[in-house]
Amino acid sequence: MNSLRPRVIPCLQFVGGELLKTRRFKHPLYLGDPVNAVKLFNDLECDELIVVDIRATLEGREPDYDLIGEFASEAFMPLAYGGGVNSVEQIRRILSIGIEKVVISSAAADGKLISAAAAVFGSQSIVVSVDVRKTLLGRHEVWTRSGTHNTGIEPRAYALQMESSGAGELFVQSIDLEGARSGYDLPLMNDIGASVNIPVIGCGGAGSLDDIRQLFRSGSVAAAAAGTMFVLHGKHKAPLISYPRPNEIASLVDARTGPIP
Amino acid sequence: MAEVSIVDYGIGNTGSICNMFRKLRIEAEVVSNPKSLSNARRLMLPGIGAFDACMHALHTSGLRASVLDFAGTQRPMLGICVGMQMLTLHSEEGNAPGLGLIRAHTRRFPDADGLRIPHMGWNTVKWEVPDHPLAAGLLSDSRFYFVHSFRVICESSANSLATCTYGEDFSAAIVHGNVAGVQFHPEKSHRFGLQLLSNFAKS
Repeated sequence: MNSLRPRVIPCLQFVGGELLKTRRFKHPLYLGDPVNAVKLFNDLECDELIVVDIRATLEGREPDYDLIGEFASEAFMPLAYGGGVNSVEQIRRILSIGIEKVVISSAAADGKLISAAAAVFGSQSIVVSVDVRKTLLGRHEVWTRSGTHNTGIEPRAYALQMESSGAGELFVQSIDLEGARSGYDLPLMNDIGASVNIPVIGCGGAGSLDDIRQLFRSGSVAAAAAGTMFVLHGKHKAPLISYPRPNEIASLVDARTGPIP
Repeated sequence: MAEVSIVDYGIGNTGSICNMFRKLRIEAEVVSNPKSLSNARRLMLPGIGAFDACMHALHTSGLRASVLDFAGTQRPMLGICVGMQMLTLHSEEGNAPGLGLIRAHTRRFPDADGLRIPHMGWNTVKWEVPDHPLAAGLLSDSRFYFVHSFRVICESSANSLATCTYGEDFSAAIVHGNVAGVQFHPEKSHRFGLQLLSNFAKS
């Protein structure tokens, strides 16, 4: 076969020892212990996992290496860490703990860290986060610093720059749809997916398996990520860790699924 | 004494591998000097990133000769990902010679329509030597996590322990006597990887 089944990736947010879930990058809801959540997703045999310290950059903090080590010791699948990463030395330390991929957002913008890190560790370990907000006029723009700084750059141009700098994957997230459970921003994913040759992970807006199925049918992504859908349950938003069973994962790909990048 | 020793030459996912052996309650150690390496019961050679960078790092660490000596002892040895590619004669990714312990070539994936590189994600493998100790308990319903842009082609199919298909068939695992390698990441492949590392620690 020429393509692999696209991956389904839970994305966990945390600050300190608290597992959180935000909506539109705001309104953090406390959900419990992030290490336990990693363990539960490991038991559910998820394809891959992303954990993000959503305040590290804003608070000017170093990554919490002890906590990252606890995540790594519970994760026997590929694990990506993001949050406050701005140097090659930090990346070296995080990878040596047992993390496969480092997600870089705010420090990626000028491309220098990405090219330096890709040269040392290989592109496969460097994921660039592309957080996107829509203007009132419907134009997409890339934001950094947990959605507090507008770069004013259009996502496709930004994605191409990151690809040429050496990024191995792009984590493309719609800030407007985060937590909305109304489906992915398919035009955004299609626009970026059609422009770059590296794998794109789509995130923001998933509320059901059908939303993931729609994203895979677009043929623009190599993976679907979701937070809310895998950590909250029902309209009262009760914390509940869940992940599709193997037969449900298989059902996400059908005859109408596009060519998977 | 540790059941498994993991070569630390500065590049590689020793943290992940140690985590998995801890989960298995199998004693594993990281070795970075020739003496402890030569005393190992079983040796694992990790590798990640660029082929030349790994070969150069192994050389400058002063461990290259010890690894070759170990391969000659008949004690079990396992290369992982680029660590498996290092067992071959060479790689198209770079210019440095491989260890040449298995007569195989590391080549770029062919440029084929719709074939995205790297091969990244979960895939199944076909064990060509089903009764090999490494394959125990993995013959059906197993899957492994791959991430690589170069793949190994054996000169003789007798050295191909398992095959995988991506665009075309390639060797997902290779073997020659006591020396074996796997292209996928057992340390990141859930219970299937646990089974494989457990098999290795018992081999």
